[in-house]
Amino acid sequence: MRPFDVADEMDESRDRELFARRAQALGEAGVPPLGDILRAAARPEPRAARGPSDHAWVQLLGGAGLAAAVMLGAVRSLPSAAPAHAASVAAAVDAGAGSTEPAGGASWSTFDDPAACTMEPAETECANSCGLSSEACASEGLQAADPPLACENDPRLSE
Amino acid sequence: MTTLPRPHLLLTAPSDRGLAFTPPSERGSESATPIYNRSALIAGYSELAPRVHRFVSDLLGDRTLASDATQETFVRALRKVDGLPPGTPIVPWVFGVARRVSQELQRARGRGRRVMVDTEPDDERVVDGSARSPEAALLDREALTVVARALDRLPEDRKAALLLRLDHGLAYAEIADVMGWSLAKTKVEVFRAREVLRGCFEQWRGGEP
Repeated sequence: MRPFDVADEMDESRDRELFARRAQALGEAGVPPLGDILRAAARPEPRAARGPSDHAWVQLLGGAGLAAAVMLGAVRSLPSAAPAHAASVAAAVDAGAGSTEPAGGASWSTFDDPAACTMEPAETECANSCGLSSEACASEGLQAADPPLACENDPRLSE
Repeated sequence: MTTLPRPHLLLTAPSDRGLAFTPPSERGSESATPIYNRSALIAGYSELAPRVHRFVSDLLGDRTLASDATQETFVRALRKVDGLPPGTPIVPWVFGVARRVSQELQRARGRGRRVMVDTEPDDERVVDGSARSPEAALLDREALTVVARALDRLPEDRKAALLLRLDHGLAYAEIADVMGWSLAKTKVEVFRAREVLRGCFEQWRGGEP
């Protein structure tokens, strides 16, 4: 035992005496009998005594499962990007043939090649742009009317 | 000063040591590795229960609630004592359970489930005052008043540490385990609490109200 500990113990002795006197004065009133303790301990532990954490975990896991199911459903309901794009262009062209006039007055009916119906918008513009030469369109692998129908009314051609 | 070791349950109860105190450093037998189990805890109930009751009564400031807390403490202890690792010091462990039970009851009381508050002063809790001499009664009154004033001025954790050290004789390391503190913090907290106690003692001796 170090000297500090000895001094500390001696120093505390007065305080401890105070508490010991108090304990003796207070006695043992209010202490529950052992029989009550044993009977209470023999009873099955109530579920609530385990604390609120069990219930919280169940709620948390349930919520996570529900969220995962919603996410899965949402992902499945989304159409895949590439086929849908091509299909929508084809559908728009089919539906609009002869009735939908592109800018410049050209008609979609000027296309002889059905493959053009699946062209990308930029390529379609090329084939129907006024002032674009047939060679330029051909170099792109496209087919253009000669003269382009869309260009019949183009003021630049009349000049 | 006599410390009576009992089979299986080596407690140092106030009844054993009277007014004197056996420093934790001298209680070598208590740090041995006795096997604690349910039957040993039951055998030691009569020694330990008054101490636990006084501890929770001081923490809660409510004698009726303290009886409930004592019962709940021992019910939990009996259910779990068989699962303790061998060599676990049982007295600090039971006080740790008592402290947790007290905290739960205090929180419940704070939420308004239990609003009954014990307003009875400490000196009216004396059980058998008529059988004591006037001098002893005066000393009792001094002890009750000084300690009650000191406990009133202490925050909850510091109060618990002071009680565990001075009233129940736990070693600093055991208090550190119960409170979840470092050893250094435990010593500082007990020292600060004892300063308050001494202040109240000097006030009492000086005749201040």
